[in-house]
Order: sequence, then C-alpha cells, then structure tokens
Amino acid sequence: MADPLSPGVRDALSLPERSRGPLPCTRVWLVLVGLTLATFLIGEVGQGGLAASLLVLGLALAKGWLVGDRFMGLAGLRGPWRWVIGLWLVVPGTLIATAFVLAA
Amino acid sequence: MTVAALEAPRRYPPGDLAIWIFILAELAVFAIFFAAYAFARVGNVELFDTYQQTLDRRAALVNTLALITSSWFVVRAVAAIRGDDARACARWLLAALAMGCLFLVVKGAEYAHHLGAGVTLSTNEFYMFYLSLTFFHFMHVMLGMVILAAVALKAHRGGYSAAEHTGVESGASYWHMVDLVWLILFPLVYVMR
Repeated sequence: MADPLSPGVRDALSLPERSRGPLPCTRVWLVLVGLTLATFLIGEVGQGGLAASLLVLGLALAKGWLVGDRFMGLAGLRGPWRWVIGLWLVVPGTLIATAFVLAA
Repeated sequence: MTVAALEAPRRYPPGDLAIWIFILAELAVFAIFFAAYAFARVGNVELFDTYQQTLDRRAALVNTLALITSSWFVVRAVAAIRGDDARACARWLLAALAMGCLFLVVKGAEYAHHLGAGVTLSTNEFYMFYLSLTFFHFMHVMLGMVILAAVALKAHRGGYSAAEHTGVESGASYWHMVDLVWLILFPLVYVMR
C-alpha cells in the first residue's frame, strides 16, 4: 500500500519512514554532530588562514540552514517565511567573509 | 487532522507569529554583533588571533554538542505532542533542559577561569567582544530554559494536546534560535583566525 504521507510531511512530524532506520530529525542531528567535530578538528590541527576560516564559516552556515529548515520546520513552508533563516545566514555570513578577506 | 490537511502547504512557521517577530529581532542584533566582531578584527588581526588561543576550544565543542543535542530533543518533544503524548513531550523537554544546564555549567567554568586570571571587558578589544558576545548569548540560553521549563510543566499537567500545542512550538522555535546563534558564534570566536 502506498505511503499516504509525503516525505516533507513525514519530516515535519518526525515520523519514521517505511524503511527501517533513524528518524529524519536524528539523521539531521548526526550530520550536525559530524560538521561540529569537523569544525573543531580544523581548529585543532590547522594553522588558520583565509581558506580554513572560509571553510569553517561554510560549515557553520550549512549547520544553520539545517537547523532552520529541519529543526525549526521551515522546509515545508511556501512564501517568504520559507527563506527567512537562510536570508539571515547569508547577511552575517557575507559580512564575516568580507571582513576575513580584508584581514588576510 | 486529515492527510489532505497535512499535505496543504503552510504559509507561516510553527508556533505563534509573535515569537517569530521576536526571534527575527534577536537574530538581527546578533548579526550586527557578529559583523562588528569580524570588522573590529580587521584592524587588529594579531591581537585577536593571539588571545583567541587563550580560549578553551574543547569546552566550546562540548557546549556546541550540548545545544545541538538539546535542539534535537526539542524536535522530539514537538513530535510527541503532535502525536498527543504530553508526558513524552514533557520528558523530551526535561532532557533538553539538562543539556541547557550542561551548557551553563561549562560556560560558567570558562568565565570563572578568565575572571580568575584577571580578564575583564577592558582587558583588550578581543576580550571585550568575547565576554559581551558570549554573555549576551548566555542570557538567551537562560531565558530559553525558563521558557522550556514553563512549557514542560504545562505539558506535564496536560495543558497541550495534538489539537492545541502552539505554546510548545513557540518555545521550541525560540530554543532553536538560541542554538542557531551559537552555531555561528562558536566558529567565529573560537576557531576562525
């Protein structure tokens, strides 16, 4: 029998998919943990510099987008609210990147 | 709720619209703070990079994982109340609160270390930004915990259901905002150099 709920609705409700495996929100949490550990390791082993800083900033923006889209529930919206967190991430993200390029 | 109703695309985010206006105002303030830190660093790169090395990056890692995990617990709490399980909702919120407590303890230990070493807002420009930015966020964590505790108590008393749980979604949205801000603050202040 076909699943009556779309993947988007399942995500919003955090319902398990028909196939066995972790909940969608658990998968997002695991990705966030992985990106956080990557950020930490870059800080620990790297010598810094513009490329590493921009990479770390990119990881942070990706994490922020996941939190807005999946945890805050904006993924299933239509209209301007769908993009509000993404827009917020772009503004300080661009300013921070510009400042680090200027400082390099 | 019918499947057709579930499938209808929503126009507004979960929770009360007023909390979202508040969240956007908070995010705007933090965005200004972040930009101010980054552009202040342009004029004094050596000082910022030198004193950044005095911060405890491992403590910041623990705190990042604590907030991410608390946000995940809050998502589970919202899913529980949508499934009409108020007790489970309250339990997930208590788990999120425990993670919030961990954050406060770790950050408090960091502050104790720095203050014990004689660091103040006027020590230098880096510490001025570090202390003011992180303490401003620290206060938001405390406010978020008060909100989550109030929501958990009401959920425990049966004040929410699958049909009416706007309060749970509003509290959850605020807590995710607190997490979101830290996700930018952590790399900016502790890692990027």
